[in-house]
Amino acid sequence: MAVNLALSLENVQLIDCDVEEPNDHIFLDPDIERIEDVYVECPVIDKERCNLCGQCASFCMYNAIAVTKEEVIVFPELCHSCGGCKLVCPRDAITYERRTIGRVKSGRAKHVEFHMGVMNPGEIRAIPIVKQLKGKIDRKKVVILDAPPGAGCLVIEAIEGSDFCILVTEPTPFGLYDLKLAVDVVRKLRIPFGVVINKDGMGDRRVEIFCSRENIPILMRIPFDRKIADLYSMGVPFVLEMEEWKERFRIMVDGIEERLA
Amino acid sequence: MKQITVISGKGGTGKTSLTASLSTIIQNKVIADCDVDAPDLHLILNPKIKKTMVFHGLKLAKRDVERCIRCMKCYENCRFGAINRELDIDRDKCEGCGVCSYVCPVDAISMVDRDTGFVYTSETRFGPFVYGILRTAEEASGKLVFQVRQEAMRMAEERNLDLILIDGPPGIGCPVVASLSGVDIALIVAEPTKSGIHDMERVLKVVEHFGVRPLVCINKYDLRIENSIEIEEFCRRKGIEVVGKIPFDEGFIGALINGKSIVEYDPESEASKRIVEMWERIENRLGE
Repeated sequence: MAVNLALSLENVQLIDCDVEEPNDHIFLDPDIERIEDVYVECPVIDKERCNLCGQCASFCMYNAIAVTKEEVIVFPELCHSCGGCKLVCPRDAITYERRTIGRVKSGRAKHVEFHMGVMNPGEIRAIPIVKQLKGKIDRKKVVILDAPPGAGCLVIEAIEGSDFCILVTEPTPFGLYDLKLAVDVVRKLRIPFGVVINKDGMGDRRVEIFCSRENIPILMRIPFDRKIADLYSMGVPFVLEMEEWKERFRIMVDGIEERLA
Repeated sequence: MKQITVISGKGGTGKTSLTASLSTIIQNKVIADCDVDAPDLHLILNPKIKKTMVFHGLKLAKRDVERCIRCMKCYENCRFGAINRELDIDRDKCEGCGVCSYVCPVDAISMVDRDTGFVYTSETRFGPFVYGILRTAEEASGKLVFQVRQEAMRMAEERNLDLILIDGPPGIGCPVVASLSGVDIALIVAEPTKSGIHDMERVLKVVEHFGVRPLVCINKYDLRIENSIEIEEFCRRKGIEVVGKIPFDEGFIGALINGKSIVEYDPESEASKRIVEMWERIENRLGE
Protein backbone atom coordinates (compact mmCIF):
# COMPACT_ATOMS: atom_id res chain seq x y z
CA MET A 1 0.00 0.00 0.00
CA ALA A 2 2.70 2.51 1.02
CA VAL A 3 4.86 1.72 -2.01
CA ASN A 4 1.96 1.84 -4.47
CA LEU A 5 0.83 5.14 -3.00
CA ALA A 6 4.33 6.63 -3.28
CA LEU A 7 4.66 5.52 -6.90
CA SER A 8 1.34 7.17 -7.74
CA LEU A 9 2.27 10.62 -6.40
CA GLU A 10 4.71 13.38 -7.41
CA ASN A 11 7.20 15.16 -5.15
CA VAL A 12 7.09 12.34 -2.65
CA GLN A 13 9.16 10.79 0.12
CA LEU A 14 8.68 7.21 1.29
CA ILE A 15 10.07 6.29 4.71
CA ASP A 16 9.90 2.64 5.80
CA CYS A 17 9.57 2.75 9.59
CA ASP A 18 9.01 -0.99 9.97
CA VAL A 19 12.64 -1.34 10.98
CA GLU A 20 12.27 -4.87 12.36
CA GLU A 21 11.00 -6.28 9.06
CA PRO A 22 11.38 -3.63 6.35
CA ASN A 23 9.89 -4.65 2.99
CA ASP A 24 9.38 -1.52 0.89
CA HIS A 25 12.82 -1.81 -0.72
CA ILE A 26 11.94 -5.25 -2.09
CA PHE A 27 9.12 -3.71 -4.12
CA LEU A 28 10.92 -0.47 -4.97
CA ASP A 29 14.42 -1.76 -5.70
CA PRO A 30 15.97 1.62 -4.87
CA ASP A 31 19.51 2.81 -5.54
CA ILE A 32 20.90 3.26 -2.04
CA GLU A 33 23.17 6.30 -2.01
CA ARG A 34 23.89 6.75 1.65
CA ILE A 35 24.09 4.52 4.75
CA GLU A 36 24.30 5.86 8.30
CA ASP A 37 24.78 3.87 11.47
CA VAL A 38 22.33 4.33 14.33
CA TYR A 39 24.05 4.59 17.67
CA VAL A 40 22.86 4.36 21.22
CA GLU A 41 24.87 5.01 24.34
CA CYS A 42 25.68 2.15 26.62
CA PRO A 43 27.55 2.09 29.96
CA VAL A 44 31.16 0.95 30.28
CA ILE A 45 32.51 0.20 33.75
CA ASP A 46 35.97 1.31 34.80
CA LYS A 47 37.15 -1.73 36.78
CA GLU A 48 39.86 0.24 38.57
CA ARG A 49 37.38 2.67 40.05
CA CYS A 50 34.40 0.35 40.60
CA ASN A 51 34.00 -1.05 44.12
CA LEU A 52 31.09 -3.34 43.22
CA CYS A 53 28.67 -1.39 45.42
CA GLY A 54 25.78 -2.39 43.16
CA GLN A 55 23.99 0.96 43.09
CA CYS A 56 23.96 1.06 39.29
CA ALA A 57 22.31 -2.36 39.09
CA SER A 58 19.68 -1.54 41.68
CA PHE A 59 18.86 1.76 39.97
CA CYS A 60 18.53 0.27 36.49
CA MET A 61 14.84 -0.32 35.73
CA TYR A 62 15.63 -2.49 32.75
CA ASN A 63 17.83 -5.12 34.42
CA ALA A 64 20.61 -4.17 32.04
CA ILE A 65 23.30 -4.32 34.77
CA ALA A 66 24.11 -7.16 37.13
CA VAL A 67 26.75 -6.99 39.87
CA THR A 68 28.39 -10.16 41.12
CA LYS A 69 31.07 -10.57 43.78
CA GLU A 70 33.77 -10.21 41.14
CA GLU A 71 32.44 -7.98 38.43
CA VAL A 72 29.76 -5.80 36.86
CA ILE A 73 28.04 -7.31 33.83
CA VAL A 74 26.28 -5.06 31.32
CA PHE A 75 23.61 -6.45 28.98
CA PRO A 76 23.79 -3.84 26.20
CA GLU A 77 20.59 -4.91 24.39
CA LEU A 78 18.50 -4.24 27.50
CA CYS A 79 19.92 -0.75 28.10
CA HIS A 80 17.59 2.19 27.36
CA SER A 81 20.46 4.74 27.57
CA CYS A 82 18.70 6.68 30.34
CA GLY A 83 21.95 7.78 31.99
CA GLY A 84 20.83 6.72 35.47
CA CYS A 85 23.69 4.35 36.30
CA LYS A 86 26.27 7.04 35.63
CA LEU A 87 24.36 9.50 37.81
CA VAL A 88 24.12 7.18 40.81
CA CYS A 89 27.66 5.79 40.69
CA PRO A 90 29.48 7.11 43.80
CA ARG A 91 32.93 6.35 42.33
CA ASP A 92 32.46 7.98 38.94
CA ALA A 93 33.32 4.63 37.38
CA ILE A 94 30.82 4.72 34.53
CA THR A 95 31.25 6.28 31.12
CA TYR A 96 29.20 5.83 28.00
CA GLU A 97 30.25 4.34 24.74
CA ARG A 98 28.48 4.41 21.40
CA ARG A 99 27.09 1.14 20.12
CA THR A 100 25.51 0.43 16.72
CA ILE A 101 22.01 -1.07 16.77
CA GLY A 102 21.07 -0.64 13.13
CA ARG A 103 21.29 1.51 10.05
CA VAL A 104 19.40 4.11 8.08
CA LYS A 105 19.66 3.71 4.31
CA SER A 106 18.72 6.48 1.92
CA GLY A 107 18.35 6.58 -1.81
CA ARG A 108 16.01 6.93 -4.70
CA ALA A 109 13.74 4.76 -6.82
CA LYS A 110 12.33 6.39 -9.93
CA HIS A 111 11.01 9.76 -8.70
CA VAL A 112 10.58 8.58 -5.09
CA GLU A 113 12.99 9.74 -2.39
CA PHE A 114 13.39 6.70 -0.17
CA HIS A 115 14.62 6.07 3.38
CA MET A 116 14.53 2.89 5.41
CA GLY A 117 15.71 1.76 8.81
CA VAL A 118 17.11 -1.69 9.52
CA MET A 119 17.50 -3.02 13.04
CA ASN A 120 20.29 -5.52 13.62
CA PRO A 121 18.92 -8.99 14.48
CA GLY A 122 19.43 -9.66 18.18
CA GLU A 123 18.64 -6.07 19.16
CA ILE A 124 15.33 -5.38 20.85
CA ARG A 125 14.94 -1.59 20.89
CA ALA A 126 13.85 -0.15 17.58
CA ILE A 127 12.76 3.29 18.78
CA PRO A 128 16.10 5.09 18.27
CA ILE A 129 16.17 3.90 14.65
CA VAL A 130 12.68 5.26 13.97
CA LYS A 131 13.67 8.55 15.62
CA GLN A 132 16.68 8.91 13.36
CA LEU A 133 14.59 7.98 10.30
CA LYS A 134 12.07 10.67 11.08
CA GLY A 135 14.88 13.20 10.99
CA LYS A 136 14.81 12.64 7.21
CA ILE A 137 11.30 14.08 6.86
CA ASP A 138 11.17 16.84 4.27
CA ARG A 139 8.00 18.86 4.88
CA LYS A 140 8.15 20.32 1.38
CA LYS A 141 7.21 16.92 0.03
CA VAL A 142 4.34 14.53 0.50
CA VAL A 143 5.79 12.24 3.17
CA ILE A 144 4.55 8.65 3.41
CA LEU A 145 5.62 6.78 6.54
CA ASP A 146 5.15 3.01 6.39
CA ALA A 147 4.48 2.19 10.05
CA PRO A 148 5.32 -1.03 11.93
CA PRO A 149 2.50 -3.43 12.92
CA GLY A 150 0.75 -3.42 16.27
CA ALA A 151 -0.46 -0.67 18.56
CA GLY A 152 2.46 -0.22 20.91
CA CYS A 153 5.19 2.31 21.57
CA LEU A 154 6.93 1.82 18.23
CA VAL A 155 3.77 2.63 16.31
CA ILE A 156 3.34 5.81 18.35
CA GLU A 157 6.92 6.82 17.61
CA ALA A 158 6.32 6.32 13.89
CA ILE A 159 2.96 8.06 13.48
CA GLU A 160 3.32 10.90 15.96
CA GLY A 161 3.30 14.24 14.15
CA SER A 162 1.53 12.88 11.07
CA ASP A 163 -1.26 14.97 9.54
CA PHE A 164 -3.29 11.91 8.62
CA CYS A 165 -3.21 8.15 9.16
CA ILE A 166 -4.33 5.58 6.62
CA LEU A 167 -5.32 2.40 8.46
CA VAL A 168 -5.05 -0.63 6.19
CA THR A 169 -7.17 -3.60 7.18
CA GLU A 170 -8.63 -6.85 5.87
CA PRO A 171 -12.32 -7.77 5.99
CA THR A 172 -11.90 -10.61 8.51
CA PRO A 173 -12.41 -10.93 12.29
CA PHE A 174 -8.62 -10.59 12.77
CA GLY A 175 -8.57 -7.50 10.56
CA LEU A 176 -11.45 -5.96 12.46
CA TYR A 177 -9.95 -6.62 15.89
CA ASP A 178 -6.58 -5.16 14.91
CA LEU A 179 -8.29 -2.22 13.21
CA LYS A 180 -10.09 -1.38 16.45
CA LEU A 181 -6.74 -1.29 18.26
CA ALA A 182 -5.29 1.01 15.59
CA VAL A 183 -8.33 3.30 15.77
CA ASP A 184 -7.84 3.51 19.52
CA VAL A 185 -4.22 4.63 19.02
CA VAL A 186 -4.89 7.31 16.38
CA ARG A 187 -7.80 8.67 18.40
CA LYS A 188 -5.56 8.89 21.47
CA LEU A 189 -3.05 10.89 19.43
CA ARG A 190 -5.85 12.95 17.84
CA ILE A 191 -4.68 12.24 14.31
CA PRO A 192 -7.38 12.35 11.62
CA PHE A 193 -7.69 9.00 9.86
CA GLY A 194 -9.49 6.83 7.37
CA VAL A 195 -9.55 3.16 6.42
CA VAL A 196 -8.42 1.25 3.35
CA ILE A 197 -9.91 -2.22 3.00
CA ASN A 198 -7.37 -4.55 1.43
CA LYS A 199 -8.45 -7.89 -0.08
CA ASP A 200 -11.97 -6.51 -0.27
CA GLY A 201 -14.51 -9.26 -0.88
CA MET A 202 -12.41 -11.94 0.82
CA GLY A 203 -14.21 -12.15 4.13
CA ASP A 204 -17.29 -10.65 5.75
CA ARG A 205 -18.85 -7.19 6.17
CA ARG A 206 -18.03 -6.59 9.82
CA VAL A 207 -15.26 -4.07 9.06
CA GLU A 208 -17.66 -1.99 6.96
CA ILE A 209 -20.36 -2.14 9.59
CA PHE A 210 -17.88 -1.03 12.24
CA CYS A 211 -16.66 1.88 10.06
CA SER A 212 -20.14 3.13 9.30
CA ARG A 213 -21.21 2.88 12.95
CA GLU A 214 -18.09 4.76 14.06
CA ASN A 215 -18.37 7.27 11.23
CA ILE A 216 -14.94 6.34 9.87
CA PRO A 217 -14.45 7.09 6.16
CA ILE A 218 -13.50 4.19 3.90
CA LEU A 219 -10.94 5.77 1.59
CA MET A 220 -10.39 2.92 -0.80
CA ARG A 221 -11.04 -0.76 -1.42
CA ILE A 222 -8.39 -2.94 -2.99
CA PRO A 223 -10.07 -6.12 -4.26
CA PHE A 224 -9.14 -9.68 -3.36
CA ASP A 225 -7.67 -10.27 -6.78
CA ARG A 226 -5.44 -12.99 -8.16
CA LYS A 227 -3.45 -10.59 -10.33
CA ILE A 228 -2.66 -8.26 -7.41
CA ALA A 229 -1.67 -11.24 -5.25
CA ASP A 230 0.58 -12.58 -8.03
CA LEU A 231 2.33 -9.24 -8.47
CA TYR A 232 2.75 -8.98 -4.70
CA SER A 233 4.33 -12.43 -4.53
CA MET A 234 6.84 -11.42 -7.23
CA GLY A 235 7.68 -8.21 -5.41
CA VAL A 236 6.13 -5.97 -8.07
CA PRO A 237 4.06 -2.93 -6.99
CA PHE A 238 0.71 -3.46 -8.71
CA VAL A 239 0.35 0.16 -9.89
CA LEU A 240 3.23 -0.49 -12.32
CA GLU A 241 1.20 -3.16 -14.12
CA MET A 242 -2.27 -1.77 -13.47
CA GLU A 243 -1.79 1.91 -14.31
CA GLU A 244 -5.44 2.85 -13.66
CA TRP A 245 -4.76 2.43 -9.93
CA LYS A 246 -2.36 5.39 -9.89
CA GLU A 247 -5.26 7.70 -10.63
CA ARG A 248 -7.31 6.06 -7.86
CA PHE A 249 -4.51 6.62 -5.36
CA ARG A 250 -4.26 10.27 -6.45
CA ILE A 251 -8.01 10.74 -6.03
CA MET A 252 -7.75 9.23 -2.56
CA VAL A 253 -5.00 11.67 -1.59
CA ASP A 254 -6.98 14.61 -3.00
CA GLY A 255 -9.87 13.50 -0.83
CA ILE A 256 -7.62 13.39 2.24
CA GLU A 257 -6.32 16.87 1.49
CA GLU A 258 -9.88 18.15 1.22
CA ARG A 259 -10.68 16.64 4.60
CA LEU A 260 -7.68 18.32 6.18
CA ALA A 261 -8.32 21.73 4.57
CA MET B 1 8.12 -29.64 29.60
CA LYS B 2 8.52 -28.59 25.95
CA GLN B 3 7.75 -25.24 24.38
CA ILE B 4 7.08 -24.31 20.75
CA THR B 5 6.77 -20.75 19.48
CA VAL B 6 5.09 -20.01 16.16
CA ILE B 7 6.51 -16.87 14.51
CA SER B 8 6.62 -15.29 11.08
CA GLY B 9 8.51 -12.01 11.06
CA LYS B 10 5.64 -10.23 9.30
CA GLY B 11 1.95 -10.35 10.15
CA GLY B 12 -0.55 -11.79 7.71
CA THR B 13 1.24 -15.04 6.88
CA GLY B 14 -1.42 -17.17 8.57
CA LYS B 15 0.55 -17.72 11.75
CA THR B 16 -2.41 -17.41 14.08
CA SER B 17 -4.69 -19.54 11.87
CA LEU B 18 -2.04 -22.28 11.95
CA THR B 19 -1.60 -21.95 15.71
CA ALA B 20 -5.37 -22.34 16.10
CA SER B 21 -5.22 -25.52 14.01
CA LEU B 22 -2.33 -26.88 16.06
CA SER B 23 -4.36 -26.08 19.17
CA THR B 24 -7.11 -28.29 17.77
CA ILE B 25 -4.79 -31.21 17.07
CA ILE B 26 -2.40 -31.25 20.02
CA GLN B 27 -3.44 -32.90 23.27
CA ASN B 28 -2.26 -32.12 26.79
CA LYS B 29 -0.94 -28.63 26.29
CA VAL B 30 -1.32 -25.06 27.43
CA ILE B 31 -1.85 -22.47 24.69
CA ALA B 32 -0.30 -19.01 25.10
CA ASP B 33 -0.83 -15.95 22.89
CA CYS B 34 2.28 -13.78 23.17
CA ASP B 35 1.31 -11.33 20.44
CA VAL B 36 0.36 -8.94 23.21
CA ASP B 37 0.32 -5.87 20.93
CA ALA B 38 -2.53 -7.30 18.85
CA PRO B 39 -3.65 -10.68 20.18
CA ASP B 40 -5.99 -12.45 17.77
CA LEU B 41 -5.99 -16.11 18.83
CA HIS B 42 -8.76 -15.55 21.39
CA LEU B 43 -11.09 -14.67 18.51
CA ILE B 44 -10.97 -18.33 17.48
CA LEU B 45 -10.52 -19.97 20.87
CA ASN B 46 -13.43 -18.11 22.46
CA PRO B 47 -12.00 -18.33 25.99
CA LYS B 48 -13.92 -18.34 29.24
CA ILE B 49 -11.81 -16.12 31.43
CA LYS B 50 -11.06 -17.57 34.86
CA LYS B 51 -8.59 -15.03 36.18
CA THR B 52 -7.53 -11.51 35.17
CA MET B 53 -4.27 -10.03 36.38
CA VAL B 54 -3.34 -6.38 35.93
CA PHE B 55 0.12 -6.01 34.50
CA HIS B 56 2.33 -3.14 35.57
CA GLY B 57 5.11 -2.66 33.08
CA LEU B 58 7.40 0.29 33.36
CA LYS B 59 6.85 2.95 35.99
CA LEU B 60 5.63 6.43 35.15
CA ALA B 61 7.05 9.69 36.51
CA LYS B 62 4.58 11.88 38.37
CA ARG B 63 5.36 15.44 39.43
CA ASP B 64 3.98 17.00 42.59
CA VAL B 65 3.23 20.57 41.48
CA GLU B 66 3.13 21.88 45.06
CA ARG B 67 6.62 20.71 45.89
CA CYS B 68 8.25 21.49 42.56
CA ILE B 69 10.57 24.53 42.53
CA ARG B 70 10.94 24.48 38.73
CA CYS B 71 14.71 24.03 38.84
CA MET B 72 14.50 22.26 35.45
CA LYS B 73 16.86 19.46 36.49
CA CYS B 74 14.34 16.80 35.47
CA TYR B 75 13.90 18.44 32.07
CA GLU B 76 17.66 18.62 31.54
CA ASN B 77 18.33 15.00 32.52
CA CYS B 78 15.49 13.22 30.74
CA ARG B 79 16.96 11.40 27.75
CA PHE B 80 13.57 10.50 26.29
CA GLY B 81 12.21 13.98 25.73
CA ALA B 82 9.34 13.05 28.03
CA ILE B 83 9.43 16.29 30.03
CA ASN B 84 8.84 19.59 28.26
CA ARG B 85 9.83 23.11 29.34
CA GLU B 86 6.53 23.52 31.17
CA LEU B 87 7.53 20.35 33.05
CA ASP B 88 4.57 18.35 31.79
CA ILE B 89 5.32 14.64 31.65
CA ASP B 90 4.38 12.84 28.43
CA ARG B 91 2.98 9.43 29.34
CA ASP B 92 3.75 8.00 25.90
CA LYS B 93 7.39 9.07 25.98
CA CYS B 94 8.27 8.33 29.61
CA GLU B 95 10.20 5.05 29.79
CA GLY B 96 10.09 4.94 33.58
CA CYS B 97 13.84 5.08 34.15
CA GLY B 98 13.60 7.10 37.36
CA VAL B 99 16.35 9.61 36.49
CA CYS B 100 14.05 12.65 36.95
CA SER B 101 13.00 11.42 40.37
CA TYR B 102 16.65 10.86 41.32
CA VAL B 103 17.89 14.30 40.27
CA CYS B 104 14.97 16.22 41.78
CA PRO B 105 16.37 18.16 44.77
CA VAL B 106 13.00 18.54 46.53
CA ASP B 107 11.63 15.05 46.02
CA ALA B 108 8.77 16.29 43.87
CA ILE B 109 8.79 13.42 41.39
CA SER B 110 7.65 9.93 42.30
CA MET B 111 7.63 6.85 40.12
CA VAL B 112 4.17 5.32 40.07
CA ASP B 113 2.75 2.09 38.68
CA ARG B 114 1.04 2.29 35.34
CA ASP B 115 -1.59 -0.17 34.22
CA THR B 116 0.16 -1.40 31.13
CA GLY B 117 -1.96 -4.38 30.29
CA PHE B 118 -3.66 -7.55 31.42
CA VAL B 119 -2.90 -11.23 31.64
CA TYR B 120 -5.89 -13.56 31.28
CA THR B 121 -6.04 -17.17 32.33
CA SER B 122 -8.86 -19.02 30.62
CA GLU B 123 -10.45 -22.29 29.56
CA THR B 124 -11.22 -23.13 25.95
CA ARG B 125 -12.56 -26.13 24.04
CA PHE B 126 -8.92 -26.95 23.27
CA GLY B 127 -7.67 -26.68 26.84
CA PRO B 128 -6.19 -23.99 29.05
CA PHE B 129 -5.23 -20.74 27.36
CA VAL B 130 -3.22 -17.78 28.66
CA TYR B 131 -3.07 -14.49 26.82
CA GLY B 132 -1.94 -10.95 27.42
CA ILE B 133 -3.23 -7.67 26.10
CA LEU B 134 -1.06 -4.60 26.17
CA ARG B 135 -3.03 -1.39 26.46
CA THR B 136 -2.68 0.58 23.25
CA ALA B 137 0.28 2.95 23.08
CA GLU B 138 2.07 1.21 25.95
CA GLU B 139 5.59 -0.13 26.21
CA ALA B 140 7.16 -3.15 27.92
CA SER B 141 5.55 -5.76 25.71
CA GLY B 142 8.56 -8.02 26.33
CA LYS B 143 7.88 -8.01 30.06
CA LEU B 144 4.23 -8.79 29.48
CA VAL B 145 5.23 -11.71 27.24
CA PHE B 146 7.35 -13.08 30.10
CA GLN B 147 4.39 -12.79 32.43
CA VAL B 148 2.13 -14.67 30.00
CA ARG B 149 4.72 -17.41 29.60
CA GLN B 150 5.24 -17.72 33.34
CA GLU B 151 1.52 -18.08 33.90
CA ALA B 152 1.35 -20.69 31.12
CA MET B 153 4.18 -22.65 32.74
CA ARG B 154 2.50 -22.48 36.11
CA MET B 155 -0.71 -23.90 34.60
CA ALA B 156 1.18 -26.63 32.77
CA GLU B 157 2.86 -27.73 35.97
CA GLU B 158 -0.31 -27.56 37.98
CA ARG B 159 -2.17 -29.80 35.52
CA ASN B 160 0.72 -31.97 34.59
CA LEU B 161 0.68 -30.95 30.91
CA ASP B 162 3.89 -31.38 28.98
CA LEU B 163 3.71 -28.81 26.19
CA ILE B 164 3.24 -25.08 25.77
CA LEU B 165 2.18 -23.85 22.33
CA ILE B 166 3.01 -20.16 21.91
CA ASP B 167 1.62 -17.84 19.24
CA GLY B 168 4.41 -15.30 18.81
CA PRO B 169 4.29 -11.64 17.79
CA PRO B 170 5.42 -10.16 14.45
CA GLY B 171 8.78 -8.45 14.01
CA ILE B 172 12.16 -9.34 15.46
CA GLY B 173 12.24 -7.01 18.48
CA CYS B 174 11.59 -7.06 22.19
CA PRO B 175 8.41 -9.19 22.39
CA VAL B 176 9.73 -11.67 19.80
CA VAL B 177 12.92 -12.21 21.77
CA ALA B 178 10.84 -12.66 24.92
CA SER B 179 8.66 -15.23 23.12
CA LEU B 180 11.67 -17.20 21.88
CA SER B 181 14.04 -17.31 24.80
CA GLY B 182 14.39 -20.80 26.21
CA VAL B 183 11.89 -22.54 23.90
CA ASP B 184 12.65 -25.87 22.22
CA ILE B 185 11.39 -25.16 18.73
CA ALA B 186 10.57 -22.06 16.71
CA LEU B 187 8.10 -22.86 13.95
CA ILE B 188 8.63 -20.17 11.32
CA VAL B 189 5.62 -19.62 9.08
CA ALA B 190 6.84 -18.31 5.73
CA GLU B 191 4.89 -17.08 2.74
CA PRO B 192 6.20 -17.74 -0.77
CA THR B 193 6.47 -14.07 -1.72
CA LYS B 194 9.62 -12.05 -2.34
CA SER B 195 9.03 -10.08 0.84
CA GLY B 196 8.06 -13.22 2.77
CA ILE B 197 11.41 -14.83 1.96
CA HIS B 198 13.20 -11.73 3.21
CA ASP B 199 11.12 -11.70 6.42
CA MET B 200 11.85 -15.38 7.06
CA GLU B 201 15.60 -14.86 6.65
CA ARG B 202 15.58 -11.99 9.15
CA VAL B 203 13.53 -13.74 11.80
CA LEU B 204 15.69 -16.82 11.35
CA LYS B 205 18.75 -14.78 12.33
CA VAL B 206 17.05 -13.94 15.61
CA VAL B 207 16.05 -17.57 16.21
CA GLU B 208 19.64 -18.67 15.63
CA HIS B 209 21.01 -15.80 17.74
CA PHE B 210 19.12 -17.20 20.71
CA GLY B 211 20.06 -20.81 20.01
CA VAL B 212 16.54 -22.08 19.30
CA ARG B 213 15.97 -24.89 16.81
CA PRO B 214 14.08 -23.56 13.75
CA LEU B 215 11.55 -25.51 11.68
CA VAL B 216 9.88 -23.93 8.66
CA CYS B 217 6.30 -24.16 7.42
CA ILE B 218 5.52 -22.71 3.99
CA ASN B 219 1.97 -21.43 4.09
CA LYS B 220 -0.01 -20.89 0.86
CA TYR B 221 2.89 -22.72 -0.84
CA ASP B 222 1.02 -23.00 -4.14
CA LEU B 223 0.61 -19.22 -4.34
CA ARG B 224 3.91 -19.09 -6.21
CA ILE B 225 5.68 -22.41 -6.54
CA GLU B 226 9.03 -20.98 -7.68
CA ASN B 227 9.22 -18.92 -4.50
CA SER B 228 8.36 -21.99 -2.43
CA ILE B 229 11.19 -23.86 -4.14
CA GLU B 230 13.49 -20.94 -3.33
CA ILE B 231 12.51 -21.23 0.35
CA GLU B 232 13.09 -24.98 0.31
CA GLU B 233 16.49 -24.57 -1.30
CA PHE B 234 17.44 -21.89 1.18
CA CYS B 235 16.41 -24.18 4.04
CA ARG B 236 18.31 -27.14 2.60
CA ARG B 237 21.49 -25.04 2.35
CA LYS B 238 21.06 -23.93 5.96
CA GLY B 239 20.19 -27.42 7.19
CA ILE B 240 16.71 -26.39 8.30
CA GLU B 241 13.83 -28.80 7.95
CA VAL B 242 10.69 -27.73 6.10
CA VAL B 243 8.05 -29.56 8.13
CA GLY B 244 4.97 -28.39 6.31
CA LYS B 245 3.74 -27.12 2.96
CA ILE B 246 0.18 -25.92 3.39
CA PRO B 247 -1.81 -25.04 0.25
CA PHE B 248 -3.85 -21.89 -0.10
CA ASP B 249 -7.41 -22.67 0.92
CA GLU B 250 -10.40 -20.32 1.11
CA GLY B 251 -11.51 -22.52 3.99
CA PHE B 252 -9.07 -20.62 6.23
CA ILE B 253 -11.20 -17.50 5.77
CA GLY B 254 -14.47 -19.38 6.20
CA ALA B 255 -13.15 -20.97 9.39
CA LEU B 256 -12.02 -17.61 10.74
CA ILE B 257 -15.39 -15.97 10.06
CA ASN B 258 -17.06 -18.82 11.92
CA GLY B 259 -14.66 -18.58 14.85
CA LYS B 260 -13.07 -21.95 14.10
CA SER B 261 -9.75 -23.42 13.07
CA ILE B 262 -9.67 -24.95 9.59
CA VAL B 263 -9.04 -28.39 11.10
CA GLU B 264 -12.37 -28.07 12.92
CA TYR B 265 -14.21 -26.32 10.11
CA ASP B 266 -13.13 -28.51 7.21
CA PRO B 267 -11.14 -31.49 8.50
CA GLU B 268 -11.24 -33.27 5.14
CA SER B 269 -9.57 -30.41 3.26
CA GLU B 270 -6.07 -30.83 1.87
CA ALA B 271 -4.86 -27.97 4.09
CA SER B 272 -6.17 -29.65 7.24
CA LYS B 273 -4.54 -32.96 6.32
CA ARG B 274 -1.24 -31.25 5.68
CA ILE B 275 -1.40 -29.50 9.04
CA VAL B 276 -2.03 -32.82 10.82
CA GLU B 277 0.98 -34.35 9.02
CA MET B 278 3.09 -31.33 9.89
CA TRP B 279 2.30 -31.78 13.56
CA GLU B 280 3.41 -35.42 13.41
CA ARG B 281 6.78 -34.28 12.09
CA ILE B 282 7.12 -31.58 14.73
CA GLU B 283 6.21 -34.05 17.45
CA ASN B 284 9.01 -36.35 16.30
CA ARG B 285 11.49 -33.46 16.44
CA LEU B 286 10.32 -32.56 19.94
CA GLY B 287 11.09 -36.09 21.08
CA GLU B 288 14.70 -35.89 19.89
